[in-house]
Amino acid sequence: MVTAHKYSPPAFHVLAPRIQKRLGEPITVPGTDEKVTDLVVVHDPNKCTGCNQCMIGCAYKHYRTFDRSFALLYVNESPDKNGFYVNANCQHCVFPMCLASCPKEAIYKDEKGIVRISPLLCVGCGTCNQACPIGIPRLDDERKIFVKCDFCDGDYPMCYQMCSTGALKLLPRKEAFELVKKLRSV
Amino acid sequence: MSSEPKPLKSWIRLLEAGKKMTSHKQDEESILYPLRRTFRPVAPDITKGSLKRDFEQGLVYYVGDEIEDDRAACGLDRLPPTGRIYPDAVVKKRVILEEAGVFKKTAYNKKKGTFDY
Amino acid sequence: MSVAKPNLNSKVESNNASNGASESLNLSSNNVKPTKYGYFLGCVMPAKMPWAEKATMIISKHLGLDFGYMKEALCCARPGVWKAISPDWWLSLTAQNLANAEKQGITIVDTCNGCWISHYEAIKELTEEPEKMKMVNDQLAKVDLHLKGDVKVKHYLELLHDDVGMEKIVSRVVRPLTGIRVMRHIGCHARKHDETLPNDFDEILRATGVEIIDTPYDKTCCGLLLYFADPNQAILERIGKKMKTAQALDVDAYVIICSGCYDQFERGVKIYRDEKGISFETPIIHFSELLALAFGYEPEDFGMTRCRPIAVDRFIEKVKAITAENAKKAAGAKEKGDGLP
Ligand code: SF4
Ligand code: SF4
Ligand code: SF4
Repeated sequence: MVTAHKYSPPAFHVLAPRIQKRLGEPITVPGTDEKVTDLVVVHDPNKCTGCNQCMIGCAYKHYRTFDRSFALLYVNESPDKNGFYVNANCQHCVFPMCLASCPKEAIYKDEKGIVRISPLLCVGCGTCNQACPIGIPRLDDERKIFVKCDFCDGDYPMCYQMCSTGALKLLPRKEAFELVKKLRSV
Repeated sequence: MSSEPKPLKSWIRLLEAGKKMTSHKQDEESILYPLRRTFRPVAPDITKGSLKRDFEQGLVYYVGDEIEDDRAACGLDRLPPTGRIYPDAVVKKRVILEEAGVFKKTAYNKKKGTFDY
Repeated sequence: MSVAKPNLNSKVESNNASNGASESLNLSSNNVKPTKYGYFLGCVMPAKMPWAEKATMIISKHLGLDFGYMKEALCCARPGVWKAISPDWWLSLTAQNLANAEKQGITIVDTCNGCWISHYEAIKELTEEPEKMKMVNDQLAKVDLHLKGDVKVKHYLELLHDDVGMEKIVSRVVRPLTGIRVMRHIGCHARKHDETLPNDFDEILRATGVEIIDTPYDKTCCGLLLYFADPNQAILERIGKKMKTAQALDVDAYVIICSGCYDQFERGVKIYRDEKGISFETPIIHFSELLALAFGYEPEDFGMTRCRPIAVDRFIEKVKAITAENAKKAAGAKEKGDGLP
């Protein structure tokens, strides 16, 4: 029997934010006091035209390049329907699978509800990518760590600002849920 | 997916043109310092061509002689009433660009018409 | 101040005809009172599609609109590029055009979706956020301009559909283009708010009598901004798929409205022709040309055959054939009508 190494559950310090730089004022949901935590970006594939402006905006904001492979969200043509574009946007989940899966505890949720990967702790194992239901975290080739959407540090999300057709919507979580339910049933 | 499609020549030309109007040579630097993280200027190389035309003429496309003839044949004035015949508007635009800090941040060299970075 | 400025001046001076044009324009701006609607040309329209510009002017006059050019128009500040680089810069650059329009006392009319969204959103953002308005006005003060924020912006489709009205448009159609099959592409930004503009577009197209063919790639973007990011995807997956569908369905024309889209279509077609050896034959037609034809104008009236990457001769022939057929039918109907009572 292997008894040499005793497993102890991780102390729950991952919730305490470790990197606290340049966090602007959280956006509040219009008409309420709710914080950015409660806002998510949702995508309406019926409107999306696959222009990829959202990806280019995100890539420029984070990497100063127009190369869309640097983006932290993904829009691609649906494999089973021509001319139909599907997307993957980090939802900053209430119970993030990426956070739960990280063996280095490098992923944490900051006080604004943004799920972040600490670039100092990440070792680039890629477990978060496997764990995330929509595979958001991706390998940053230059730094050899995994990166994911940081909700533009709590600014107005660039992808949402850039969307050329209004397919990306910035909604409170409840409304977003309703919208997605409606889109699914149609 | 079969093989990767070949890069388009016209796109490469656009990129090369952008690189040409940049004084700082990123390619040479990455040979000298292969481990250094790529430096990315505010204006990406690929956009430099259109940005330069925008800065100098106020518009992305220039109405040259050939198209002037075509315009006349279509029954229009030879030159459009855009910044093309109102150089004042372009001068004003440059003042605004200067004021907003665009020239400085994009490292645009007004005298030479090139980008420092 | 710059290398470009003397260059610009010398160009204007060296060209007598252009001098004449600019003088006459200046004169008209002094004497004639400004029109209600100012047509904002933007970058692509005057440089690549003079036929569309002329056709737009023709049909606006024909419909009795108080329609002229907006003067001193500069780049709308292309939202795709400038907004990504910095939303504030985008606002400053757009504000100059808006302030100019305000000074000229016109309603801006755009046929390009990019210009339209730029103006529409900038004026919305500026009126909603006084801080941004102050920032912009500080910069504009340096060039003796001021933006109050009450300038109106209209898409040309909006203008035709709402201000002119469908009844009037339908009543002016004297040459119904029945039998012409078209695919249409309205472009991304026109879909931003709701489905009004796409529906208006379809309605106006149907009024000319053409048959619209629906395909899965109707919605797909032309890939204008994507060309900067991923040229292969932009050309092969966007333009290529659209044009191949058009080719396969053997439609008579691909109807567009946005000049930005036209720029990308033209680029795509040229790249396919020069680098892949595939030439597409479906002509790309601006919707104002279709309207002008339906209103009874001839292709020569707006120089339809000039400066086209894809020849439109076949399309014109078909239109002429349809006209002849219609005339024959009308004559026949008249005879019958005369014989009946
Ligand atoms: S990366 Fe995936 S699991 Fe993690 S918060 Fe975003 S959507 Fe949720
Ligand atoms: S919210 Fe910001 S970081 Fe996240 S995908 Fe959108 S642009 Fe990128
Ligand atoms: S910007 Fe909007 S329309 Fe364009 S690809 Fe992204 S989600 Fe789709």
